[in-house]
Amino acid sequence: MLNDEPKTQVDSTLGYTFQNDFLALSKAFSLPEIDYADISQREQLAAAIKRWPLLAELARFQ
Amino acid sequence: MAVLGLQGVRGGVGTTSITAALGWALHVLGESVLVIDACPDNLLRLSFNVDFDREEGWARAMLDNRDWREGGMRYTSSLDILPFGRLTAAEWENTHVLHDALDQLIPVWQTLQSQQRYNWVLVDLPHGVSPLTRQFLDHCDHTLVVVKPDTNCHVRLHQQPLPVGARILVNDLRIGSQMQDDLFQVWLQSQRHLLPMVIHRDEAMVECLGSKQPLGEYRGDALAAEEILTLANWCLLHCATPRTPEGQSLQGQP
Repeated sequence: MLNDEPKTQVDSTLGYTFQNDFLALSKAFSLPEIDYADISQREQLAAAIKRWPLLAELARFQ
Repeated sequence: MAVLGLQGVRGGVGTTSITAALGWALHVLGESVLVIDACPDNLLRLSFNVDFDREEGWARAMLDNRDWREGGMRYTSSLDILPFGRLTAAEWENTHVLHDALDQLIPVWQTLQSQQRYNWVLVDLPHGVSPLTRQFLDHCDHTLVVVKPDTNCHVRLHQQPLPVGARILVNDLRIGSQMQDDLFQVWLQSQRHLLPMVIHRDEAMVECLGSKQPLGEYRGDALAAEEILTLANWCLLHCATPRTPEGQSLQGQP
């Protein structure tokens, strides 16, 4: 709501610079494509993921 | 001219040694190669028998307002290297002075493109997303990201942005390590941009820097050297710039 907006003046150029940096960064970099589809159907992979809790945790993210 | 950037997902994964080895392998296959060190660590030169106390390099030259070409060195008739150059302790503490020199990189690329002297320019990129890295990435046609099969790299692949379109190269894969074998299997099945070859753990890769030579020159029959040669052939198939029958690059011609 409007009433919740901060009353102090925000330096708009700072935000602009940050946004520009972010845009430049997202143009040059992106997260790698990781595809865990069907991973549970492969015996060796299932064993690997069962053996290491960290691998199991990360395999839940795509 | 094809520009190929190599970047480690973090430090210590062997990117610099692989860059030197790939430069040598492409040269063995008859290509003309320039290897550029984009890392302020300035270590790549040591794989090409450059004296430790030699200070010259492209960044050193730019900071001293001299021509960047003064930093270049010829290793063989078709393999040149461009070290980063040595920074002073004060420059290390204030690396923003480097960023002021970055604009001077544009004429470097313009010169390389117009001369078309090299079939390949390999760039040893620092890890991370510094302005320096981004400036070089802008000029790379292809990027290889080097990873070691360990949990540190595995976590990074889930949280760390990589250069857009980058291929992933596995280095230092050990035989008989349960953890590495499991991680490698997971990557084979889940990483869409994994390269079809891997570089195995090889003592020759460790020894070649001690010998101040690129891997293939130090021991061409080592397993890792043969795997790097396979990588070089893959690069020729997938990354080379089309050429005319005379061997000239099509790019940059009228």
